[in-house]
Amino acid sequence: MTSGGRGVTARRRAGAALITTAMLLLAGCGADPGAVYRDSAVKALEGSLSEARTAELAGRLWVTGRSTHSFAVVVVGESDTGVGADAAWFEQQQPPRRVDDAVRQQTTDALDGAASAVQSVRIALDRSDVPATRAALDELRSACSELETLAEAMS
Amino acid sequence: MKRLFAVALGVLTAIGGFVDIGDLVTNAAVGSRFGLSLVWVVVVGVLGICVFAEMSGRVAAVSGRATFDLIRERLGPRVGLAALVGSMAVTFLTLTAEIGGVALALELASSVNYLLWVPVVGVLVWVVLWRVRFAVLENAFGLAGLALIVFAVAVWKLGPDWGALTAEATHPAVPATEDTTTYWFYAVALFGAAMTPYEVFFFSSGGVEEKWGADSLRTMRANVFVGFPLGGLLSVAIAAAAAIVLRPQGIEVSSLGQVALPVLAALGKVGLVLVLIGFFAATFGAACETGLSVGYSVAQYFGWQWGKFVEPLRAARFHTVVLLSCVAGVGILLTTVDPILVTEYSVVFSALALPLTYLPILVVANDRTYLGQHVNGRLANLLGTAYLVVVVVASAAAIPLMILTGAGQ
Repeated sequence: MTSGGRGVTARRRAGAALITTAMLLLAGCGADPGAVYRDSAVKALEGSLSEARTAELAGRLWVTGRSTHSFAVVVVGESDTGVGADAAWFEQQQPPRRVDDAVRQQTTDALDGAASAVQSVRIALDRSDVPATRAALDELRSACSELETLAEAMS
Repeated sequence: MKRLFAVALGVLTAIGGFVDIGDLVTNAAVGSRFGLSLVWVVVVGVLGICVFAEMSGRVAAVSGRATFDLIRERLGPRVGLAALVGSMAVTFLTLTAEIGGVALALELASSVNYLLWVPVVGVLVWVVLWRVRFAVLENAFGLAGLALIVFAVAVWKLGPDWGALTAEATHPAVPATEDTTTYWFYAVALFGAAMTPYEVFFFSSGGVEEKWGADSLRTMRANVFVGFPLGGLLSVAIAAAAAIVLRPQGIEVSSLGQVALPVLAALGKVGLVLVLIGFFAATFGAACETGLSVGYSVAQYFGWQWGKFVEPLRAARFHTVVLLSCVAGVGILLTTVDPILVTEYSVVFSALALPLTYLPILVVANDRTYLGQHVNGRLANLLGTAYLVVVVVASAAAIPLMILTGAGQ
């Protein structure tokens, strides 16, 4: 390729990069910050719901004698870490406007409730305490319902 | 009778050895999010790996020479090097994912953290590759991998709405809860999981090791055209189990434990034992295959002595590459990178790198100098060319889709 050819190619590439950047900026500018924040909340709620329901399923399989203790401990432990990670991720998101504080509060409360319920299941499971695990699973079920209701309301 | 036994054994090991950590995780993840609406990709992928493996196996059987040896000779060192680097990188990433998968399976069985298992698994894989005979390695893990049939049994035991499942599989559509780009991202990932290059290297290099000739073509084709599709049915069963149990609860698969949950729901502890044996066999077998495949590809390209049938001392460079791959894979996992994340990236990069290995095989399979009368026929070329288009499209779409969807998040 000649140096002139290289120059044309370079200008074309620069032009394409400029157009792409402009499109990305326009896309970013056009988005409603409140909607983006709500989307983040829904994402965190759905992620937590997935982890919490996993813990609930694994816990119920153990208390009904359909799973080994080792397996249940590992799966519930991973869910515990996952719910915590979702809550931590959402806490890092900045509510763009004052009106979005309500979304933050509701979401944080639901995520914390789910995290606490999964922790209770994990603790009871680690102790091989079947009655306590059953009680914690009931608590987790209602926390899951709350997550689901809130996620549906926000989406 | 002996021949029939060899065919049956080959088919069974092809079924059991078809599924690896990429298939386990990707199929379960897809089932939990998209139900059976992406089953068509498994069908396309399985037919693709059959076309690819048949060509590669035929090249190995007729020419008696290894894949990378021929690629370098036929297409020159530069193209050969590109194919080598691309496929080796993906195969190494897959090896890392498989070692992580074995460690995760052992964690599920023992509740000992997987990071403590990673070095143990690394050493075990290397010892097996160093000491165990090729046939034992291939047959033992392939047959033990048949334990994964428990997923199909679980699907039957769960008593799903067969009509709804069939309708979803035969009338694929993007679910209302998902967007189109994510659907296509998972389509590419599933395609990459079904068409991993290492399976073909291992298959064809194994053919050279076992001294296949033109008279082995029938057995080879039986393994490919019966074993691989039946292995593909296992993939569908994994997706179906996840679709039946996990999807209604909003559980999205992000761990190996979640993949097993539907089997426990259906079959209890017996199911758990079988599924863990299946996980271990599938991932350990695939770790051995990928470890060998890294060594095969490098040694074949550079013209070194290679293979399990050669005394280790005579193939020192080949065994050194295998050893270093195991050490590097273990090292990467010990950085605490999530093995499931490595798996997800490995299947996407597998789709990305596929043309680099697929095209050279297609070219060599069309060359009468190497294949004589066994050169690609009309049907093989028709399918081969059609799949070249599919492979190139999947490769071109892999990275943009990964960026647009945040790796399917």
